[in-house]
Amino acid sequence: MKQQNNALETQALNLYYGSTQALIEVDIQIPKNKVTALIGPSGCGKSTLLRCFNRMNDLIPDCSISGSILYHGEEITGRSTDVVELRKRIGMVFQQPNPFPKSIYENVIYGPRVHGIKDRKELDAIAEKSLKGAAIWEEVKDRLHDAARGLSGGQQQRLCIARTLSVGPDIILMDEPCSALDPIATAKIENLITELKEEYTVVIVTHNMQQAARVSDYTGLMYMGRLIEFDTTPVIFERPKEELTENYITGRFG
Amino acid sequence: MMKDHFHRELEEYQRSVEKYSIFALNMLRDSFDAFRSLDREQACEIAGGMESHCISPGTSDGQPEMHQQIMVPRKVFLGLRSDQLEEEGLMLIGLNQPVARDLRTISCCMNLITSSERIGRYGKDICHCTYKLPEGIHIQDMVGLAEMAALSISMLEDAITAFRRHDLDMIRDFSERDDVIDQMRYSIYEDCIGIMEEDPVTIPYCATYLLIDRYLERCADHACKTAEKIHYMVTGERVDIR
Repeated sequence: MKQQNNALETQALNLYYGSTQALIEVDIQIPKNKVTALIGPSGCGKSTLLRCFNRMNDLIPDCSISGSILYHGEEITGRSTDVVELRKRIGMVFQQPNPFPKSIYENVIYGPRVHGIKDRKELDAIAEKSLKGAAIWEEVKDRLHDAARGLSGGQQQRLCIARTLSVGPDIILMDEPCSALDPIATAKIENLITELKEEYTVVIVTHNMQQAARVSDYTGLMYMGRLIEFDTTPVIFERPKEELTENYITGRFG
Repeated sequence: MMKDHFHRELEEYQRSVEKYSIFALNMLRDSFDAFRSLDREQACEIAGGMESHCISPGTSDGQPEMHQQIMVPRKVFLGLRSDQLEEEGLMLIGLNQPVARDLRTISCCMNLITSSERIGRYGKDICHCTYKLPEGIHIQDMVGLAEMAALSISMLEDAITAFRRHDLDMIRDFSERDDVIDQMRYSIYEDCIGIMEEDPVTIPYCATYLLIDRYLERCADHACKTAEKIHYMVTGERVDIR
């Protein structure tokens, strides 16, 4: 079998919300075990693209796509794709931390339990591994049965990352994961992202240019539904090739 | 295109840096002229003459920031202004987190500040040589030092112009010009040794020529370094000049 170096890949991807085209001929390759940042002004299509990767757009009426999306080389746009299985493999973290109104422990094992794991010891092990993976274990290990909503925003966000990890994904999509957090919590999430790429592929949408520069290996700039430029992060932030990229990252836009 | 506060400040900063580099270059040029005409008074005036310097005493007393002009000797101004401009550059970076072209521009500015300070100090050193020389006249028309000075200074002028205009054409032939400088330096060295061997009375003058040709060679080197930085600022690509 051919070794796939790209965790995700799109080919000539077009997406429409009704008659409005939100993605235009997007070709992007997301390298495995790297952090890829998508940047661009509001409405440029970066979140839409992110949601394509785990078929979250299926939930939006009137949304249609053409072109290919490959997950480790396998087409995932077709009807035969098991979407539940896909979302287990490709997890997502949102802008607002959204823990369930349950205990910390219940939040983390919710996914594995839904997927049929009942053994208490196994669930405990998953909870610990996931919480450790999300760098929050030390802060919550003595109060696993406290309400998740009682945690700070930054802790809630890491709990949501732990919840994502608990079902054993290999890709984590993050849509502005730090926008609602203070600088300290942001730094913790950023450190975590850097650690996560050891085991996972991370795709992050961010409006924070410095954050993209700090955490990502590759950066793509999107504008009006198109992927304008995609390159290694140092190139994008030091000497981008496209004038549009240069103008956007230096704040000369409008 | 929209220009925000930061980009206006950045343009202002580039103008300040350019002004400083011209100040330093003038110090070198005037110093060499004073040396050529062995005008000791003029040499003293260039290094020690007064320059107006703007300081802000800070806001620790809660009062709005006040800028105050003080008069300082030029050689002191050279150091004070260099520190001040470096700090302004660091503030621009710290407060605005610039990237791409903007960051490369600030980096180039900071480099030009350092080079300019060195160039100004070589000027000061040439002044020093001038008033330390015993009474007399130049030997063998300064064995070609004037030509070397002209070439060094023209490289610095072109580097500053290239910096202002973002014009790479001005610096394209710097490698060749630097080679000529190196050849000149070698031939001045040979000539000076020969002259000194023949007549020890010439030693104070020839030894000074050797010192100054070293300074001028360093200045041309600073011009090349600046040119490399300008190339990087404009294109984002590194080049090796010399």
